[in-house]
Amino acid sequence: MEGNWACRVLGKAHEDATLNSLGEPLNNMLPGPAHIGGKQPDGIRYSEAYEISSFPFVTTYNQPMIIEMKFKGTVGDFDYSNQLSQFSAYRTYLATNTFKPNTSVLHGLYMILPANKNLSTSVKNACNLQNIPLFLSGVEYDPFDTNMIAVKPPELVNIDGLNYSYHTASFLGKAFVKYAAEQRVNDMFDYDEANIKDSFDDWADSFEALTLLPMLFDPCITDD
Amino acid sequence: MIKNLNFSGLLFLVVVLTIFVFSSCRKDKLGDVEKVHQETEIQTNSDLEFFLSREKTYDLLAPAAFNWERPINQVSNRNDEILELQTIITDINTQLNERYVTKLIYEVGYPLWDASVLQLLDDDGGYTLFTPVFKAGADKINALFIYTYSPNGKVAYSLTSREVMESNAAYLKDPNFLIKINLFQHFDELLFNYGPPIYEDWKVLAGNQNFIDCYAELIFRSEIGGPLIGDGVISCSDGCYDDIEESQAFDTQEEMAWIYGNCQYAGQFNKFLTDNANINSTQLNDATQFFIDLGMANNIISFQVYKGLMNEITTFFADPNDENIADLVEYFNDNNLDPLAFSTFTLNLLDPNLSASVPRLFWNDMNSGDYWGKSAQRRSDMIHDYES
Repeated sequence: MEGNWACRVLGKAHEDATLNSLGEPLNNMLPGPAHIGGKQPDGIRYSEAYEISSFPFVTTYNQPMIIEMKFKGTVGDFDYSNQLSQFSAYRTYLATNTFKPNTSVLHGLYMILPANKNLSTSVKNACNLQNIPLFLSGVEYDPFDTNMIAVKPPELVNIDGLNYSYHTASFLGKAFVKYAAEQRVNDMFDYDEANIKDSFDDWADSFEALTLLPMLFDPCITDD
Repeated sequence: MIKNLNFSGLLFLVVVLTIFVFSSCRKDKLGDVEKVHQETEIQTNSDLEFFLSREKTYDLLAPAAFNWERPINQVSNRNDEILELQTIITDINTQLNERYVTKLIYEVGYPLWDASVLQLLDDDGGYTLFTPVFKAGADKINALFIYTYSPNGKVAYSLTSREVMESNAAYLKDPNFLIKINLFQHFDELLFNYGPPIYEDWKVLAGNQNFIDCYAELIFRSEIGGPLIGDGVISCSDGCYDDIEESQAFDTQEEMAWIYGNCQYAGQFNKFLTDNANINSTQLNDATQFFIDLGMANNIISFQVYKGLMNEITTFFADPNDENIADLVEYFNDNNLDPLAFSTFTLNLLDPNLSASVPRLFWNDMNSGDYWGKSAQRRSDMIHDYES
């Protein structure tokens, strides 16, 4: 019961409020696939890139950015050890559905964790191996109103391990590319404050109606 | 009524419905096949071949320029000069990974080669060729090629879009602004009877420009006649741009022809190379090549934006701190340039829907429907009748 409560109320409330802060709808996968390697990310966005080509003159490439939120408390840096198959599925998708994946940085995995939580070296190394930009944002509470949360601006945490040579301004170096990539992700989302108490109340009501009440009236459940 | 049908009646109804559904699908299928056939027809004509074809571009553009008669006799006199201009465009296209001409078509349109104006220079053997560029269905020209061959072997090449002309009027940095106004005006009147008062305003502004060093005027031969008697074209003078000529970045004839045809850029390059003389030579060469490609490939970025980008990058190179990085990225964004673009061609291409591919759609129309399968002469006649 406690696990259900944490998963179906606390986790969902965090997820809802975080998506509200980003300005993203729940389970936004459009126009992407419903599942990626059997896993469903919390969201996916596409960054458009263009190439001049023969008729019709411009080819648009949609570079995918998978959004994944993790709020379950773990000790130390987040290392994805409990969901390696999900991590692997996302990387495979990003590596195979991106134009010029080995030399560009418009795609990526966008991890959203509690404030001050970091990504482990193993997670960064795995992304580096497939040239996947790894963005990180923390979620923090408003110190003056703990009902409100906001997602902090994104940071590209593995620029040292990435190849960005396909970008025409790559000669400007990694500090420039890092800042430009972070700005691009920042411009995709809202980063507004969102009310987590409202989300919590909604999911608690839902949990009560769908899980607790049926148990209460279930004749098979007895008070032993 | 269904209740009253016997088995044979029902069978008949099913057969009729099946034939109806089949014929509907068949019709759609044939439509798709026909569409694919036409698309294939388009794809087999490469952009470069179409762009360089005097006949195809004439077919495409002549209906828009309905006031204009093709000057057959003059055309043959300009063959060599037009071929020279076409050669340098082809060479630049090769240097820029076969995308230069596609970008030209996308951004400014096609040249009407047969309307080119040739002016001989006072120096024996020298000449300047002016060729208008526009999109099918337009009511004014959209760009202008200028190709100058000097007897000393120096070649100057430029392409100026109408957007850049408008920015020239605001910033007055182009030494050939006046002659370009004259040519835009000449072609607009010749081809479209289009004569807006803005050209006279621009001429007043152009007359107030002061250019000092490093420019030389090549005067046209007056006895030839034509629309530009008494004018001349400005060329970069020899020896003024030592840093450019010594730079390893300018290592092809096409790049030198571009810089000679765009003198205001030459001055800016000289400053960029001098200001950044102390940075890593590989980075400086990469940056210089980026700006050469950008200048050659992009036809609608104004000189002012280009110069501003050079200055921002110079500041960044001198001290790449957080503030200067943020300022540089902000400069890109404020001027609708993509800091993470895949090529110099797409640096300013943040919304591909802004520029419609009008010319090809127009050409497609002329090769399908009522125009499909007709003889060249009949099709030409029909195209001429199209606008009227």
